[in-house]
Amino acid sequence: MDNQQNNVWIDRQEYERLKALETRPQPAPVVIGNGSGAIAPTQSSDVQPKSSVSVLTILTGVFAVISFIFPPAILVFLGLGITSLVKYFRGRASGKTKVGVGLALGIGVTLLLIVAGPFLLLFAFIIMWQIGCWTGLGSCTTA
Amino acid sequence: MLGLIGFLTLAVVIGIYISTCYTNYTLVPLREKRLFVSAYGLLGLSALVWATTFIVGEQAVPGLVFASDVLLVVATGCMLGIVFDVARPRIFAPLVLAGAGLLTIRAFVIPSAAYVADGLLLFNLSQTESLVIGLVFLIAWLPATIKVVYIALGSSRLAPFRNLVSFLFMSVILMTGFFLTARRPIMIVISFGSIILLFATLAGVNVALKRIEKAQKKQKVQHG
Repeated sequence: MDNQQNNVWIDRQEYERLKALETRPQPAPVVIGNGSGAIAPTQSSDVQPKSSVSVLTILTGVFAVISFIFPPAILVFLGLGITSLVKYFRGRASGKTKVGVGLALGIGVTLLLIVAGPFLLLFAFIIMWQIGCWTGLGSCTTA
Repeated sequence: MLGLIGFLTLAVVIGIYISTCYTNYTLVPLREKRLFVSAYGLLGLSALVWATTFIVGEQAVPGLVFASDVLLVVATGCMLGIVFDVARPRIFAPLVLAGAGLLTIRAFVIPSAAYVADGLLLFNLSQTESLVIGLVFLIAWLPATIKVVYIALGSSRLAPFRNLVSFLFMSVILMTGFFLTARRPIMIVISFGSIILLFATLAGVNVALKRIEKAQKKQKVQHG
């Protein structure tokens, strides 16, 4: 029987697929805390039911704080940023286009590195300066 | 002169950024959105106060920096309002005490030693002051910003952007921390330039995300 009370014949495989869809637990409604309690839950197909912070974001946050205390850790922070970028592009690409996206990303990053090269060298210089200052191998005299 | 133009540019860029936040963060509850926009608005206002240090005499610089400290403490309060339920007296009272305590220490125990040199504003913070700023970022600005980003990009269409936008925000906070605690002119210039660039990028991202969502919604409607 379909939803309009008509007899509809479907094969066993399709029946099992639909049954599985029916029995799958419904996603919990999103409740957003607003300080003075919580606003009414909104259930929409556009809104994702789960909004937990990803491990990558937590790691990036941790390294942002570590970078503030120990500046050379900014390299790891930047690495995590690049990982987020690559993860995003790879996530968007389908199986067939993954190689193409990888290639395009590689070319894009290379071009960007060529343009940003001098600035990165300056940045690397500052990092090395900081490392030298922290380890005592270099000088920290410049005010 | 360069510093004055820089701070004015920063204030304008932050202004553009918060207006894009207010119009595009439709999923964020009004209270959180107002607090978030107020916090970054106060940061923009601080940039304006820092800009005036280049116009007034040298003696007024520490006083103006203290005024910006007051603004930043209020901004931190706004950020804490996003993370905690500050309406509760048990949370509100210690927060007010902590804020008043910090400002009292800043005014009478460790007064600002900021000065202007070579067209740059140097905050000249001690290691303890830098650590306090780091702690404030860790407890208030970082979690509040991530919370707002995760709510703002809550729709399934925008969820893939969460990590990227969070990274941009963390970079802004980190660079602001570097800028406030920098002692070398080159660090001041680089961190300041990065802050302006990152805020401009975030404003662009806000507009782009809204367009992406609209385009995808339209596509979905067309496909039935």
